[in-house]
Amino acid sequence: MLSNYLIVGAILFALGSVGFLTRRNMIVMFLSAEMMLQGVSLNLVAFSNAWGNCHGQVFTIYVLTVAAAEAAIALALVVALYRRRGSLDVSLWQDLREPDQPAIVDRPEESADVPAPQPAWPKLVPAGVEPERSKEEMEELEESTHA
Amino acid sequence: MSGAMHALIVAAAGLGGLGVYLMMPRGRATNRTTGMLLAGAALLLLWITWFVSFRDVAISAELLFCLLATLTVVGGVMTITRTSPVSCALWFTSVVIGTAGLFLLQNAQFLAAAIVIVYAGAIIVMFLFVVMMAQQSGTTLYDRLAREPGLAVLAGFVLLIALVSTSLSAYRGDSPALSPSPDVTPVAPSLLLHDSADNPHVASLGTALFTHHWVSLEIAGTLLLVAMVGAILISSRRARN
Repeated sequence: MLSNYLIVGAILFALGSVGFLTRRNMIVMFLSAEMMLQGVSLNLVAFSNAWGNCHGQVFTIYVLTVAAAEAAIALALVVALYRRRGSLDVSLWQDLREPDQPAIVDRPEESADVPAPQPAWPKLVPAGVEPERSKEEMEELEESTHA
Repeated sequence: MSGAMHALIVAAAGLGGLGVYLMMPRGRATNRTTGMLLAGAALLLLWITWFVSFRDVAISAELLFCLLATLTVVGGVMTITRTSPVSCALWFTSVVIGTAGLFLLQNAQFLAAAIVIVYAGAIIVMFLFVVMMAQQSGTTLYDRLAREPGLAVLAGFVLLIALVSTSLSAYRGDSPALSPSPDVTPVAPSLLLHDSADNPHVASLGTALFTHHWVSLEIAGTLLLVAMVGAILISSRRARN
């Protein structure tokens, strides 16, 4: 069914646009833009199959080429911007806005002490038998722990 | 494409939009569990829509479509709602793989392979970038706070409804310019890559590319060259004077 493929393509495009509008990490914004291109490609391929010819697929190849060019330029820009500000946050570049627009400030109740989730590192279980220690070694160990 | 299907899709889009809004990183206000439940309900509605439209559910291509479309949509939602950019890039691979599978179901074997190859390279580069640039101590503040997710989700919802209703009405035949003419029959999906003599997929794609569209092929090559030069120029560290 052609309409099902069109629905999936539309969902991908809408999700990509939401991600591009709302995320602040430049890499995630780039991924969202790629997702929008995937939605368009899906639509083109579905239409190509519905018409029974290959022109839609040729369009998709062109979209793929433009996506590759866009990836190269976008990642070069990300590198250049990261070198200037040392961060991937796109809000740091908001002084490029129109002069009559108000600056966007993080709401303090949101940004204040948001608990950063700690990465869960794997824990190693101690294996084997602890070797016997001589008396001198034990004394050294106790001194080092007390100090 | 009845009115009931339309209503189902609108309901699914609303539920899914609410779910995506709740899953968006908003600092302490993030409500991931409720969001996932709502998005799951939206997915259920979407499945109902698809199963209603299937003529015969037992056909493996239609079940495969359901599986791949679910993989694609879930991957898309997770790509834009995860806080860590590494997870975002990983979930984006599921979008790529799902799309490649859908291409295979639509008789686009060459594109299915090409999209995996191109985006696999892009994802590897993305990983390198994340490793180089992301802060080593967990996620950063700007990853945990999305900007105006409510307004963005609302805009996405309106966009989705507009796109779906436009394409569905085009498919229904309301606009004759978009719907296929009745003498064209869709090619039945063939999952295997063997090309029969009367329907060689990749060969016909190559013929179309090099006969009808050779000018755009040349332009695409030039575009890639220009983009490469531009990327080198932008990212070069030397001072421009």
